[in-house]
Amino acid sequence: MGKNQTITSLNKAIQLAKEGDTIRILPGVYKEKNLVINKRLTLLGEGSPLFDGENKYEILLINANKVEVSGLSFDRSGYSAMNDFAAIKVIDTDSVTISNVQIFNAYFAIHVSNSTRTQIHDNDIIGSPASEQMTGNGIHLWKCSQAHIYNNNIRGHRDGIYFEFVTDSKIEKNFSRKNIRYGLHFMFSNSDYYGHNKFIDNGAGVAVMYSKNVTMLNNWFQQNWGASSYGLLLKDITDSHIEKNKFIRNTVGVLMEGSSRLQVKQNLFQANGWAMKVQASCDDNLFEKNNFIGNSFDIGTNGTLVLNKFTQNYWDKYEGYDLDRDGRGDIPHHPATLYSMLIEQNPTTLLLFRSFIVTLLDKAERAIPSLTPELLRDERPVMKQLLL
Amino acid sequence: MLLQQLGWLLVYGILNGGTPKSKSSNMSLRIVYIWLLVAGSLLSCSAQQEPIIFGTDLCHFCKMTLMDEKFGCELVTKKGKVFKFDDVNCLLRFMRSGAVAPKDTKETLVVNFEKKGELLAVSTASFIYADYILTPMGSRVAAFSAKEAAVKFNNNRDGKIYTWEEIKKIVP
Repeated sequence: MGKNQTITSLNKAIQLAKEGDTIRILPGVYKEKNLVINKRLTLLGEGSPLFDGENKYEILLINANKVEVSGLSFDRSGYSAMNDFAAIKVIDTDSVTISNVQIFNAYFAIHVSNSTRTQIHDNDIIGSPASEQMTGNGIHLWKCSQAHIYNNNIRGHRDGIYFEFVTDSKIEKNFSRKNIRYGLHFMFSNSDYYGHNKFIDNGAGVAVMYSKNVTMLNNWFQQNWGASSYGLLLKDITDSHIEKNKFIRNTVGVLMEGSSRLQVKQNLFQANGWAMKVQASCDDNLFEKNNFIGNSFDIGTNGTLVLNKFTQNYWDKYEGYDLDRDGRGDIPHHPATLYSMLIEQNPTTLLLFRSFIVTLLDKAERAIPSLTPELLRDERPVMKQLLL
Repeated sequence: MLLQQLGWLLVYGILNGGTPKSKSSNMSLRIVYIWLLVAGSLLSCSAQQEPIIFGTDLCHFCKMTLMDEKFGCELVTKKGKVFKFDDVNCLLRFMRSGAVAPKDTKETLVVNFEKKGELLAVSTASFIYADYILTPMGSRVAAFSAKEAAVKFNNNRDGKIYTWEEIKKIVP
């Protein structure tokens, strides 16, 4: 179909098409609204035909299995306070694929609910951050399983990617930046994997909350600056893996609360305000072979109870020697300083940062620990930066 | 209230206490300063609610950034500390945690679902608990200024209308 073809509207084309047909869409601007696909079709855009929702309408609703949509552009889908309007909405389906689609100025861009095996890849999603609270999520999944989301580029939305009650899914190689709240937001979503994603310059980084069995591998968390910002927030997470990630230039690299049985290994923490804040409510976590380089504070905590284990990490602030030359420091390293404990309780004392008195206090505390948790230590810190 | 009256008395005293010579601009400037000082100290004495800044404030309990202007709660202690929450269940979990004793609580407030950012006292608000209400943390509770407003909004759908005391028991 196209502007100069026999069929000029997609709505008409959908109605004429039979199960399993492919609809080719030629370039042009189409002002169509509330399109519903309720049979197995393939929509194939050629030369990026544009669908304009005129800021009033939802554009496309997919409600059939094995539908494929690719090569289309969507602009200005509508906003509604009560309903989550989206450029593309997918409801109750199996094996739907959305690829090579561009979506601009949408409230929600792609909104998927109650679906299995959804594939969303190679899409460009750009929101309009001008209307702050009026922007929804870029890719929003609710009650889904076995979804695969990869190679997408998302910016200017509330949360770049949002998962709620999503299981057994993969998020790979996406680039999420300049989103107003989180680059990625996970809630109540178990057994998911995300790897090789970049989360840069988002409002508050990435939040993974109330979930189990989440694997986070090889991601970049960068440039999440702000008074209450962090690279990665872990709230009530259990039995998960955080490995080979890079946390660079964040106010707080990782903020952990109520989390247990996490394996935090081979990550790089560089040039953060705090590399990690591990609240006393966390237990049974293992921090092994991570590099801590050039952070203002390595570890912050809010209590004296420590039920976590730090071992074989590289700390650039380690002051011990390695007399037996086994590559390991001879005395344990205490990554939490007295001053970092003070700030946790009284943030205004940051005023004294790098002052003589603070350095003195820290030295004294290191010699005779009183306020800092004695057990918060790395028994075998490595002397040389680890190759990650 | 007593403090405020005292303050006014003080200012009045300063204004009248000046000697005839002191009508210079220097003196009046000094009075303005004293005035500001007194006013400032009075302000910082009172425990007051704060408007929620959406997009910036964090939920004290779940640490999520508040984004949805239809939802949110606030708890003000008698000492003037303000805790903000993104959803009713976060507020309730915080209250149940015992971090602030009920006797130290001055006000408990909730955002009016129908008026962006407006804070209502929980005791006067009316609540809808319904599956069709999508809240940030899944409490499914929305607050309204009066029972009539809630009934009107519910419009015979399957939502149930409750008071705060009832909501406290129902929401996990």
